[in-house]
Amino acid sequence: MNDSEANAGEVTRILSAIQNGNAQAAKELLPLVYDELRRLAAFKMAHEPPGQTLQPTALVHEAWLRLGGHENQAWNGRPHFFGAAAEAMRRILIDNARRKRALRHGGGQQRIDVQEIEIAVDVRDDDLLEVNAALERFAAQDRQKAELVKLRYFTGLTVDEAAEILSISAPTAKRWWAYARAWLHKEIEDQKSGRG
Amino acid sequence: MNEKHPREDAIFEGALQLSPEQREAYLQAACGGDVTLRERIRDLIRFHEKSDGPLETPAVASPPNAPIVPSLPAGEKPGDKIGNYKILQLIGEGGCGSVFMAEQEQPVRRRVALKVIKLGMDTKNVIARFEAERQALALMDHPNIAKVIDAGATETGRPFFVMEQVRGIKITEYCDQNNLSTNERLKLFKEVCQAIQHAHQKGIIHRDIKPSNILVTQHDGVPVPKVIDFGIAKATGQRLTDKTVFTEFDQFIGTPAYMSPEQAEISGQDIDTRSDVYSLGVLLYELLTSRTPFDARELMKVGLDAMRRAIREIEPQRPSTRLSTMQDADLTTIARQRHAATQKLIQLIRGDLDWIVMKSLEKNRTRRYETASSFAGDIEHFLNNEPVVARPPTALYRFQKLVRRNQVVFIAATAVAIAIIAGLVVSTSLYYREQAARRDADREAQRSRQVALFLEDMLKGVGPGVALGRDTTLLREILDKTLARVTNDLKDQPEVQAEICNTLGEVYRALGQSGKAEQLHRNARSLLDLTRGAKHRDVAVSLNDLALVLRDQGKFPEAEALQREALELRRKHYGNEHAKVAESLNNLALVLRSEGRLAEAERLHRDALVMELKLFSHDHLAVATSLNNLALALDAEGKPTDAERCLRESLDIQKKLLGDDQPGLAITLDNLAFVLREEGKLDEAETLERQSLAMQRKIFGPEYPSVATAINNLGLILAAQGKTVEAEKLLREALAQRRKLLGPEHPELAASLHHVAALIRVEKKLDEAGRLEREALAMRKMLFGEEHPAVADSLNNLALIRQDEHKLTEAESLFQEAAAMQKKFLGNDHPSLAATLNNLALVLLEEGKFSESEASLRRMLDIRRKHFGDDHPSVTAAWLELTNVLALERKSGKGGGNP
Repeated sequence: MNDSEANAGEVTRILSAIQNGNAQAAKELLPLVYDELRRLAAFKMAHEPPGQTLQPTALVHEAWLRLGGHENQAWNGRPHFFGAAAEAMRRILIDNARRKRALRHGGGQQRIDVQEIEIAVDVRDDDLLEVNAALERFAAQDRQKAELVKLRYFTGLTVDEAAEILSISAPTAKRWWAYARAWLHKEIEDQKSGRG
Repeated sequence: MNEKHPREDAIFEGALQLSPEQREAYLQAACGGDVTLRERIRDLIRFHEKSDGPLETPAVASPPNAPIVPSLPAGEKPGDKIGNYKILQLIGEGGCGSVFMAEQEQPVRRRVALKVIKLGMDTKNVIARFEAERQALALMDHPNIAKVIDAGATETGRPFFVMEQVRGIKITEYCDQNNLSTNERLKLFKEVCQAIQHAHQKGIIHRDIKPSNILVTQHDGVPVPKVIDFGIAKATGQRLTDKTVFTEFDQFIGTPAYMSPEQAEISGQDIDTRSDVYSLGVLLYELLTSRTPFDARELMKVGLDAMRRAIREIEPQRPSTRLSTMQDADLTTIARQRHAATQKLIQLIRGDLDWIVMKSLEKNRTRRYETASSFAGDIEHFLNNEPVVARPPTALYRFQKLVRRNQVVFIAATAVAIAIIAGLVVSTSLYYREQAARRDADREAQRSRQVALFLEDMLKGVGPGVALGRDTTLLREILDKTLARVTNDLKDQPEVQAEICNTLGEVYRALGQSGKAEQLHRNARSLLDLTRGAKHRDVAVSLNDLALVLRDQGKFPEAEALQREALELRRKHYGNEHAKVAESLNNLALVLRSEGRLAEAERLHRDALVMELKLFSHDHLAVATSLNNLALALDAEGKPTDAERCLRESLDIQKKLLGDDQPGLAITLDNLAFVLREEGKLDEAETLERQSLAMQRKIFGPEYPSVATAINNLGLILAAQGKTVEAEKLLREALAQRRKLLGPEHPELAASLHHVAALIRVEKKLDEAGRLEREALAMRKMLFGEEHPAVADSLNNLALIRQDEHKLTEAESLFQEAAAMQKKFLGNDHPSLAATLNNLALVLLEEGKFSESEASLRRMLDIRRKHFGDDHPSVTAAWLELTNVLALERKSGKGGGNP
């Protein structure tokens, strides 16, 4: 676990750099969190009984704790961390979905990465990819609301939890969610029907 | 396609909070002509309403404690049964519940109202809270609350309530249909408050108080209001699952006009009984004015965020202001529905009821009534003519109430004043005996100051507004007694004594007793000099007050010196730009104007005005006052057009800020009429002066110093119109009032004497005219000294009387004296000087002194041409006179040149 501890120190350094106004630091955070999540997931996979799937939400929380956050204490770096975690989780899930689809579609000449992790996903891979594509377009017009969707959709946070992470009120988060949800739904339908 | 319209999300959110029927109109309004946008939002709403979709579940596994959304059965329809109740028809639908008329079969057959939580709203949390609520609801037992007969759950577990069916109509409709008077409405409203209080005691917040939830039924001919729709709001309005958020919004937006600021707060789910107090306040507002503080349609129009901001930030108009700014036809209808004349209705509401309503509508709930019952209590106070809690608790107000209840005004005032002074003495002597710590001493001093303030309020209240026009003997007695006690008993507390001296001084000044006022302000000043040092900023207050009195007395040089001293002190303490500095500039300018140093006065008034415009916004009372005063200086300088412009601007500001019927407004109107008279615009002058007089009589009663001024000025206008009979009547009335209110020596009394004398001279009542003008002259000399513009006016008028009496030599020397005095004070180019020169020329002509007459006329002509230009009628008249004199001069062979 030495790696992890090194990482923890690094993450703390980056988070405090962000707090001190260093916007560049945020970019450094993502790969660290991404690695941490993957490593954690791999570790879990190796130690849990076979057939278990990982709960991504639990995974993110655990990563948070391991990287220096506290359970009940709102550490100022929390929003940044969770933002990064959501993005990391999105990439992991999307990678997984793409890979699986590539396999299914017969394009699978690549070797499956040994570090491939089975993460519990409740939705069809196609849906996942559609949502992801629509979300990217949504993010281009409304980054904040897209951030909320990412937290909710890819890490399984409740709207209230996501509100806390984003430092907005719960009712605001709920309004945002309603709009984002309708927007994305419409966007996906439009794409499917060839409109848009 | 992906192009984001800047308002798309806001409009979408706004639409969601409306019922489907309301949405279309909203979209039309919100999107304007943007058809694409409207279409997009319709689509979004359609997608919003779909319960399935790719985002329904997170991509990742739901956490184990995720809310379980039950599969939903279809909604109820007539004929279905819920528990023991047969559904008859849907009678209402809210955001979270449907109300049916239903029939109970057992134990008795009767019609009831059944409210059931809507499909999809029955999440576990809602149901749990609903159960908790049930107990409380069952406990409610109040004649003005619709009884909850039963509560239970449908077969699928959705909760329902059964209530007694209230056959009634909305409280507002009931009141209007039956033309209930304001007092009758208040009594009904009190019952509503009591019902809400009962609910609050049971721990239930209604959260949706509005007319449609308060129905009035008749029991044996007596109207009984019934509050309905309890409990649901609280049971489901909490922060629950994602699903309920829109319900919550429905609840929240359902009735924006009645929503408290904290309900409007998007993050604030922190709602307590005081939110109901607010909504009750809205209801009362509506019962009184038939309008809600904020117009519901307007609120919806501006969009959600602006609406929230409005509710949180905008101070609604007072009910009486609302009524008085309505269109006449609306106001007439509203008054008729209340069995009242329009003005009576406004009068009834102005004051106490305004305060009561505004207190309940306070943005900050800690400043509202604590409870619904204290709200009801204040209504009761109003109905009993007792002081209401809502009113800012000034002593003056309490005193006024006291007066209204027992007419023994002054005896009560004496008692109060003496009790206060006594209280002050006791508390301080006790303190000295006990030798308490210095900190306590400070606190004690603080307390004494508060008592002094109390006294100030009270005495000012007893002052002109209450006392003048009645017998002032007792009032003077109170003041004298108070004064005696202050000087004797408060020896040990010079600071408090100084403050009370200043206060008493102001009251004496208002009563026209400037000698006593002067003495008191001098006392205050030396006390402050001793205790706080001559350079303390409080000394400036004394200096200013003293200077104002001295100006009243015509002691201008000392008044000027003191105002300059006050100005310096204030500059030192407050810096060069400060409201108090502006005030001092203004007051100094007033003295200078009285001294006839008009250009200087104008400059200082302008300085004050510029400073105030910098310190405040344009629409500020200080600005209005400065404009008014500047206008007086301009007018005195013979610039009536500029004066008129300033006065009109001042009027506009005051109207905007205060509405009608304000003392300041009446006085500015009065001034404007005065200036218009000088400009020869007599008809408008008369109209405005009559307005001002009516306003002042309404505010101050029939006899009051400024009422006398308005009567006087109206008299002058009528005189200029040649309506001498009415004019004389008015001028004499003003004189009589002034003798009574201001006597025995007062500048305005002298002015009245002068005006009556001038008018009756024309009517050839020369004896009386001469007597009155001599009295005026003597008074003015005493007040202002031997030389003063006002003395010159009297000399001029006296000269005219003498001329009419054919005492030409005396007349000539009086005119000469007057002209010299005017030149000295007003300069060589003042219109008043021109008038005197004209008179002088005529008397000289009569005496056959043609060349002197010519010289006088030429000087007059120069002045008038300078002021009015060559085309002015008075210039033409001057030319004619000059031509006439020259002709006479030639005829008499005494030479003379060309005009």
